[in-house]
Amino acid sequence: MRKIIHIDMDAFYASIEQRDNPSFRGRPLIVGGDPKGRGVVAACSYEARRFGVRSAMPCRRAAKLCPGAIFTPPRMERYVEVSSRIMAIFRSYTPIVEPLSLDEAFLDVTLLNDLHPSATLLAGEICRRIFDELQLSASAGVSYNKFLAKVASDFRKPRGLTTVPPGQAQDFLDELPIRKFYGVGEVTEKKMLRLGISNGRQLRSWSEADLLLHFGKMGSFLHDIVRGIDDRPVEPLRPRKSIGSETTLAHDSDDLAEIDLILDALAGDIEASLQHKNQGGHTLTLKVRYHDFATITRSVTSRFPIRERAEMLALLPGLLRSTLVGKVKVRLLGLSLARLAEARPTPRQLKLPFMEEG
Amino acid sequence: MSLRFTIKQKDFHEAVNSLQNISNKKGTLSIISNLLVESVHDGIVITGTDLEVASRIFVSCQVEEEGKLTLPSKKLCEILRESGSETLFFEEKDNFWVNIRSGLSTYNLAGMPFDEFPEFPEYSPDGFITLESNFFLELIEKCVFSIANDQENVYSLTSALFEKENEGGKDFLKMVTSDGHRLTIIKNEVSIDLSNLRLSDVTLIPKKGLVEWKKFCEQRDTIDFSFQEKQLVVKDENAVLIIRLKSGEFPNYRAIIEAVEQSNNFRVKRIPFLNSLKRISIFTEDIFHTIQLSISGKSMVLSSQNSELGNAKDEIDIEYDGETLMLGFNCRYFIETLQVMEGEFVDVFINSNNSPCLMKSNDDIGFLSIIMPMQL
Repeated sequence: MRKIIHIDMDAFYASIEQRDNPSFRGRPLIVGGDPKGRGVVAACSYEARRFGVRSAMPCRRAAKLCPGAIFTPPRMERYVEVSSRIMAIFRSYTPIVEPLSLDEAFLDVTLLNDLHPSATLLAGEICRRIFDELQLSASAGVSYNKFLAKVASDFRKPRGLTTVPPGQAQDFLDELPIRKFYGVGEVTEKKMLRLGISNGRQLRSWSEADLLLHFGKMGSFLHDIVRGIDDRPVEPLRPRKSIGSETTLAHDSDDLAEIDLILDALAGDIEASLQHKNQGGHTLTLKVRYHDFATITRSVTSRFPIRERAEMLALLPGLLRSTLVGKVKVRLLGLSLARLAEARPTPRQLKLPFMEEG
Repeated sequence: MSLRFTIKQKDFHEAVNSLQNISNKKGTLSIISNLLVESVHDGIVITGTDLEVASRIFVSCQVEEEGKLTLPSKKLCEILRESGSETLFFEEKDNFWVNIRSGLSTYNLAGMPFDEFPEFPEYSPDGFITLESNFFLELIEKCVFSIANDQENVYSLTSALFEKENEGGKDFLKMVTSDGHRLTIIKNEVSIDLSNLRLSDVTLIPKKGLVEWKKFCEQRDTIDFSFQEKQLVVKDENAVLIIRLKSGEFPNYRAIIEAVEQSNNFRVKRIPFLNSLKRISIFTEDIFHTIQLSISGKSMVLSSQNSELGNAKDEIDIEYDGETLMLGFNCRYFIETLQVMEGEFVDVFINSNNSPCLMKSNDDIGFLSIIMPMQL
């Protein structure tokens, strides 16, 4: 039986802002765009959540729900920096750390049994250390697979610590509201509610065949997880699924000539890392964040792997056409290549023994 | 005193053409992309240099006045090549211009004064050994392909190591080249006494020098050669080639050969192996030219894969009774080696996919090639 911990930072961006800026503390804080503009909420403090404010909600709506909220723009560099310190704390316990994003990660602590016989106590210790060193709170979930650990960490947020031992897993899952199932988004939830599925018990009564019929290949996954089956390993070195580069413009711009230059440079970055890795990608994605933080992506897929800057540049006009670039000011531009071509290991020409001396 | 002579187109063209590689080196001083032309009593002396290799050729012709001037090498060569006349008349005019008349054609070519042209290296007329050109042609052809193009580590692999050896009362000359991934040795017996030949501890001949030496040999039946301090001098009665030697270290190739375990081997017909490699190379990737060799029982399967274009597979008979081996190699390394070998059969010694592969043949005495595999 494995022992897996999922740790999720509480209101990560907003907590960092409140920590760094004492005047934000104890007050409803919204990290995101201009409350009068078209931006969306990137993150919000628990004080703001009490008013019903949620991530990804338009800022204008958030401002209406919570008239006293303070709005502050995101500082990604800062969040990345704090995140790397958190990941370093995780890695001081075990190398088997799989970050899911800046503020959450899985840790497989099965092999730490001798040192830390209780994964629950260890999870508590890690959260305390994050608080002592970084003055940020986290919630943790402990169980025997990734799915249960992830659901558990969300169970009592903030500052929660929930353990789901094997003997209690089925009861826990049976009672779990359907939207708490990882992977079940708004659309799937609505569909399930229509089908009369509102918790784990009801989901479990469905056969795999029926789930496959209604939910496609996700059906198998749902069928397994509702029975507490999830064999996915914690993968510290997950192969990269895409190669990308993005940049925040020095000043918001709708100047197409300037934007072309930036995209050209981004394509050059990607080309360099592709060559480094001897890879190519089939899907090119353009990411545009408008001045109001509204972010869109546009993709195109090519039958042959894209390897060169020129190939990317040739595809860009088609992608730009379906955006407002040039008409609306842009704050950030990003390019990425996904569906990387079969990452065959690069053959390595061995050297004659004397070459090692030089 | 100014240049004035009448010369046979064929003779002059041949000489100027043979200096093209030396004088047309890119990105150098403009003066050395010129040739120094000097008319003496019974002919002209043409000199080209790139400061590493210098060559001087005498062409007999009818000299009317003795003089000295440099002319742009490439233009001069073009004029001589395109000339429709058997003889050409050269006459120096004011300000280093040269007027060239060939049949009904006339050219005026801008020259440069000779005093800026580098001094031709001095050499001693003593200590020369005469040998058939073919001897060096073979030596150079059989190892020049595995010289490194760039300096990568402490060793001077952009040159060939030149050595003499005495074994059982017989004299041998030997060249060793390596680009760090493979190593080629060619050692041939010399019929004459080499006791006059004095080499320094490590004699390194740069690739460019080797190529020019080879060309020099191709145009002559015998040559005289002498190693003098920092230079190799090659000459015959009408021409002299001076190659500046490199200083540096060369790896201990003997230790490498000794370290190759020569226990597991197969024997294969050379030409069929070479042809098969050429077929398989059609589908290798551009950078690595990777092929896979699968050796078992009485056959070897060669295969290649190009992720975008397709793949190829071929099979040939071998004599082998060792364990099954799967190996990756740069196809070109094998092709280049097998192309210079001569025997009907080749013996290939190989133990694993991370140990050196050694090739030799009973009919290629003195030749040995070591190729490192690729890890796929």
